[in-house]
Amino acid sequence: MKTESELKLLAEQVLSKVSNFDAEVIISSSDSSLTRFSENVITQNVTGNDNSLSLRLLRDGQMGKARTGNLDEKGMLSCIDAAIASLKVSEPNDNIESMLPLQDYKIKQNYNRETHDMTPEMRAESVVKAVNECKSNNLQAAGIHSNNGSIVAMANTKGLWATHSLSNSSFSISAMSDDSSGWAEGSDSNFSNIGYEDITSKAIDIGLRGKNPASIEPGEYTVIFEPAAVADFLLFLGWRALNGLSLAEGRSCFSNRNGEQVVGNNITLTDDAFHEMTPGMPFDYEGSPRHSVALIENGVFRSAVHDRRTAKLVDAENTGHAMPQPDSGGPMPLNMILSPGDSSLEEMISNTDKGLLVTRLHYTNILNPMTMLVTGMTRDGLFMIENGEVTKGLKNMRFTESVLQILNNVEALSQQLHKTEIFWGGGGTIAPAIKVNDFHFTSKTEN
Amino acid sequence: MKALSQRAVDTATAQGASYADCRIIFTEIEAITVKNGVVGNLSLGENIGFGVRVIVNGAWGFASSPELSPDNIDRVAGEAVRVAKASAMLKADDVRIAPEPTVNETWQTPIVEDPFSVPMSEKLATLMEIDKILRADSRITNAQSTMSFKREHQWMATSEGSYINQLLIRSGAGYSATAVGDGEIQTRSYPNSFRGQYMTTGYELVRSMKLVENAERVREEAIALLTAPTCPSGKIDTIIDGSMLGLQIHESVGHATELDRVLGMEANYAGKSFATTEKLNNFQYGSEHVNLVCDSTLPGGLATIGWDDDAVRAQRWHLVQDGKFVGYQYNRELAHTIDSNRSSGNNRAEGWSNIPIVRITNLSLMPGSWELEDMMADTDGGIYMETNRCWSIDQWRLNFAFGVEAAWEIKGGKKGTMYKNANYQSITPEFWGSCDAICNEKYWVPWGVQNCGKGQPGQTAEMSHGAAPSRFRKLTVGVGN
Repeated sequence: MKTESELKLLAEQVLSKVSNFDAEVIISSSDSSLTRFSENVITQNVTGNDNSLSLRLLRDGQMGKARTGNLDEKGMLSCIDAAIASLKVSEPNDNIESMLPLQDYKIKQNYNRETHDMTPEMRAESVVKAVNECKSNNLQAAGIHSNNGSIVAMANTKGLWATHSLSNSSFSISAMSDDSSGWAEGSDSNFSNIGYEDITSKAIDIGLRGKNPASIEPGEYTVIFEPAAVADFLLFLGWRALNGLSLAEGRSCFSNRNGEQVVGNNITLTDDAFHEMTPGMPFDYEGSPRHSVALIENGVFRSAVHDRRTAKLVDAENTGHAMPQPDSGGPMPLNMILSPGDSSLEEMISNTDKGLLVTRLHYTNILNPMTMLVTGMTRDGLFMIENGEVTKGLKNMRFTESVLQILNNVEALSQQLHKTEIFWGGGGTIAPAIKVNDFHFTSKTEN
Repeated sequence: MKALSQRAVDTATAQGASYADCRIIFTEIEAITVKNGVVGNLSLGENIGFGVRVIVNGAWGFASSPELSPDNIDRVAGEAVRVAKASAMLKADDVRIAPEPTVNETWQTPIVEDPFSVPMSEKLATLMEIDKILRADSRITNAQSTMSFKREHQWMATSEGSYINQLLIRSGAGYSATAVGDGEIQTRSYPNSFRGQYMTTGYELVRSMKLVENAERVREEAIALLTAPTCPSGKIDTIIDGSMLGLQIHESVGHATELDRVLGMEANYAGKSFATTEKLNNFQYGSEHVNLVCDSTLPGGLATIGWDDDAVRAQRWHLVQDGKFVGYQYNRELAHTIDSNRSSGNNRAEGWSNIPIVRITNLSLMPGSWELEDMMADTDGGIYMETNRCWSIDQWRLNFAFGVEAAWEIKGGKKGTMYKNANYQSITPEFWGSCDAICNEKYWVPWGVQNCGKGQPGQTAEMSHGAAPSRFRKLTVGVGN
């Protein structure tokens, strides 16, 4: 991974060659490694480094952009030529935002050198311990252990300079028998906070309790969702409904609904890159300072996240959530936090006469974006709750339900929060466990 | 490039690798997006780097870097060896790779017109014309049209003595119009959802697509969907168009027959498969009309290559023959697990920075004999569904639900009333078992999938799925209970 001073030098070299344009460079550099295991053995093991430089040029309402992964002199010159060529054929556009001068950013510490520098031997040792625990319980283990370090820097000809370093380590494990599967995961910027033993124990416990699963019929149930499942629902809400561009174009279920009660009054959802559990960076890809945003407050829709363009379109404040420009997808909340309640997972279970417990979801997707109707499957631990106790494992079920309806039917939220990594944008969602009434399962499987 | 890739292989073997390969890849991409009358993206990109894969002490290791200096190649090869030694800390048996003949070959995607030689201004003008037609009605709030072209030059050397030089070229385009009104949002796309149609061809694909000619119809259908009735639910005879079927094939057959999934190697992430090895040659996957064929040699297919990233020649074979389950997709490492003496040639990586894994190749439902108008006439009271908009399938590849952009009742042998928000769900063998009619080769198109995600670290692969409109009896239309 390149250092901050190396990125600054690269940025200065590129910008000095395009001084007759307004120019912006975004440079990233990363080291990443991942050990993958299944059937109780390591099956894949990879390490690598990567670099990327994107150059955006503006002149007289025209914009050009080019990218390269080759940061030597030849790569940079080729990138500059390509950016100029694309600018020359672009259509003039009066609505392109100008480049920002130097900004002040809050500090967010997300980098741990030891985590970045973890060796393949260190990852393998953690995996060996976890696999041995699974084997001693007659379960098959599969999962990953990764570590990485990355730096992103942004500079322009108006004097902007922004940089942020990030480290992360993830550990995820499935503990499986012939007819059951348990799963747990954890990630942190410092690997020493991950809690390998607790994660492994949880996966084993779910895998063992889920053996000999029974079958239930589709229908309406009271369901307790663990945080990873809750994160799935929030992910789609963030993507389709809390995106400032969707809101401006009338494609969000919250378009023109500022100040309306949209879900239950026990739901407060924020986006906060500065929360201690989120991996967010303190600026966005226009160079704007990132702000914490109240998205839904006590069930009332307050705001989507915005970049400068979408903020103007709906007459709102820029929240500093721009994606790399030009961007036709719109700004995204990548660091969402569903505020905790005063319950606990154990208390929710003990207060449930009849219901289900869901560990996580699989392949959720949107059937109707205006009603936020989503469908998906349970996996890695679906259980029956009877008279306040988890009594048996169940075969997996398909659900079809509106996220708005789910958040309108939340009876309780846990105090404890958990981070779930999201598979786009490099962010994470922080959520409690929730208990939901009247949740619809629509079909069943034999697995 | 030959010397550099060979240097990596030699360094790794000198440090104890019993097998080593090195792939150097140079990729160029041109992407143009026009959204609501404005150029949303117009960018050129290039990327170069190399990956070294080794077997040491019977276990895999992989390392990669974008810096092609000799010293760095030595360092990265050494790192791959170190990673493999760490892998060997937790192994059962030594990795065994199926034998392959040594080759020294060159291969290139056949094209008529180099997409990178077509002026950007011409491409932009086409997209702007489409955009203007799509936005001719104010109810269209989001019109988006794209073109994208990729040229990937690969050089691969192996410690077995093979050297392969391949140039792969991919072209494509498409657009969508989204209408908003009265609390509804509806989208129609052309020629397919999720950025259109892509193939390994030159610019001739774009010229043949009738992009401008279809824009008005697409706009009007998006608007009509705003006030269309909701699709009825129930057990309904359903004709599914080829583009929707392409994704259906991908999810319920393609991933289900990846042997690494079957053996549990994806269990923690994407899941396993119901198509377990005892079912091979012993399981009815679909009706006797269903023939599903893998073909890495298919002209224009997005997964069409000369050799895969295991240095295995492209092949063609059945997964399902007359409804029976007869084949898997696999690589050299897994061939022995099903007593095969040769890989099917499915090992592919995204770029230079990823290790090759088992990927779906071009996988197609072979055409039947029906004319679409005859099928419609034979399906009175049924529903015709077109263009995917939502997909979901369980980790065993059994229970799935798909939503489509548009559906129509079939009345009097023709498309009748248009329906909005249509979707269907089923269980994989039940679904393919209910297929009783497939349109002929005239309707058969190899639909490109550009965004197939798999593996950890995540990789994207491309492949095509040929399909023609087909009929499925008593399909569960709607969300079920």
